Amino acid sequence: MAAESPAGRVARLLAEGLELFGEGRVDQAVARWRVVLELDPAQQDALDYLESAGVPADAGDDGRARVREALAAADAGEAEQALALLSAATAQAPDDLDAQASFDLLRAQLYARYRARMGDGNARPRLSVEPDQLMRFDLPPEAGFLLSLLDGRTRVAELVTVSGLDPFAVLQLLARLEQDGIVELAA
Amino acid sequence: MIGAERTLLSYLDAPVVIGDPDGRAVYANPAFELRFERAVGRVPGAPLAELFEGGAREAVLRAVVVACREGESVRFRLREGALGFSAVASPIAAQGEQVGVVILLKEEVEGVERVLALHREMEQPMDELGQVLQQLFELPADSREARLRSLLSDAQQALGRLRKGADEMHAMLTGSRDADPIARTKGAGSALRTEPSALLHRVAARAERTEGAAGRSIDVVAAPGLPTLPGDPNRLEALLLRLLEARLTPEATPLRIVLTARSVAGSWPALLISLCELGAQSTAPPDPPHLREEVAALGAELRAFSHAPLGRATLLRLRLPG
Repeated sequence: MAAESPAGRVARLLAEGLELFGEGRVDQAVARWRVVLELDPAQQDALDYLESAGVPADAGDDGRARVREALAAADAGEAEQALALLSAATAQAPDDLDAQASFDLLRAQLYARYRARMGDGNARPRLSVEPDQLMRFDLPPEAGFLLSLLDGRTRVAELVTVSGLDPFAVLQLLARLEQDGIVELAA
Repeated sequence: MIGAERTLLSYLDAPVVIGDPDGRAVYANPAFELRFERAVGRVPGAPLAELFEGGAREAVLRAVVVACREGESVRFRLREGALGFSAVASPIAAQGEQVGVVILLKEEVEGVERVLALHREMEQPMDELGQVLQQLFELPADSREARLRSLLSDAQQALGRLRKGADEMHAMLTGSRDADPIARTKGAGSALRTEPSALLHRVAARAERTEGAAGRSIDVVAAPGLPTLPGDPNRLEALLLRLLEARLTPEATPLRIVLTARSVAGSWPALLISLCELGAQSTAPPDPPHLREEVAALGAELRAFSHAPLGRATLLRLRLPG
């Protein structure tokens, strides 16, 4: 998740994968460990877990398999996870137009979901923590930039305009910041 | 800004606001106070967003961002109560850096409003005429004669020129185009390049007015500053509208439509434009041959992808220079 540190994300994905594996949801577990390897290709725990699951650690030669995994994750309601997998698949095979189209479709789906959650762009985000507490969250630079624009009066749709960032990236960041309790969305 | 300059600005009849790159107001003249009914004494230090309301607020913020980012003047329009203003936001540069922006607002005269109203009235019949011509043009080949086909082609081209002229007239009056209220004051050569985000907003605005859209809104997800495409923007706009028309047929389940654009590397730099129909449960219908021909003529590729329950996406890959 963008609002957490890379190390924290790896730890969370590894733990979630183990939990899913224990529940017999192997596809989703594998999907999480693959994302870990996207973040850190030499991450030994993820390599070990995939080996234990009988799955090749490097699915890079088979972009189609990764797209299938992603769509399975999306079907299971793991849209963010699916997007990460498709992002990796399209980065690896940018000429695969099916992968690119599925990536766009999933992004559009998530965009609509974020937008609905934010009052169709009319919500007014504001910080729900003191500014001096932000340092402890180890936020990525774009999140810091977005937080610097929050004043509690500017609507989400206006933030998209003013930030100059990709509209999807803005909504995704805000959703994650809200989920992490850093931002709250007022009507 | 020195005091003497501020004094001169205070004599101007046109409202003027000066802001810093962080979006805060530094100065507003008395004409601004009069027209916008804001207390000028409280302006310095206030966010520019607080000086304007509703759509005007967004238009001003967009203009300031673009002017500061690109170092060029940006023209736009806004309304304050019953008054309409044409405005220009110009960057203030010092020692190679953007240090602020000056916004000059000019009250619109009634004649301009009338011409704009006429333009709005012209748009619907032009859209309807275009659809009728297109439908006639797409009739099975054995049901029309070559002469009729030639005449229809001429009529479509004439309509295209009429629409282009109307759009240019609109742009000259407002410095804007349809849903994209900001037009940059660039050289004449820039007219033959396509800015993807503005293009998609125009296409969405036009498509929403068609019968097939059935009142559905169309979202646009495209970052500002994507690489521009060489060529006539009207050509790609027409292609995307035809693609939307081919997809936007009234269905029982209300769909959400999202248009996206992004750039990728791959074998060559490309712009990917996708028409995403969220929740569509069936595969996309085959594209009409003329659509495929137009795609090929642009040197582009078209790919349809569907996955229930997500929906379906129709992706257009266009080659970027370089």
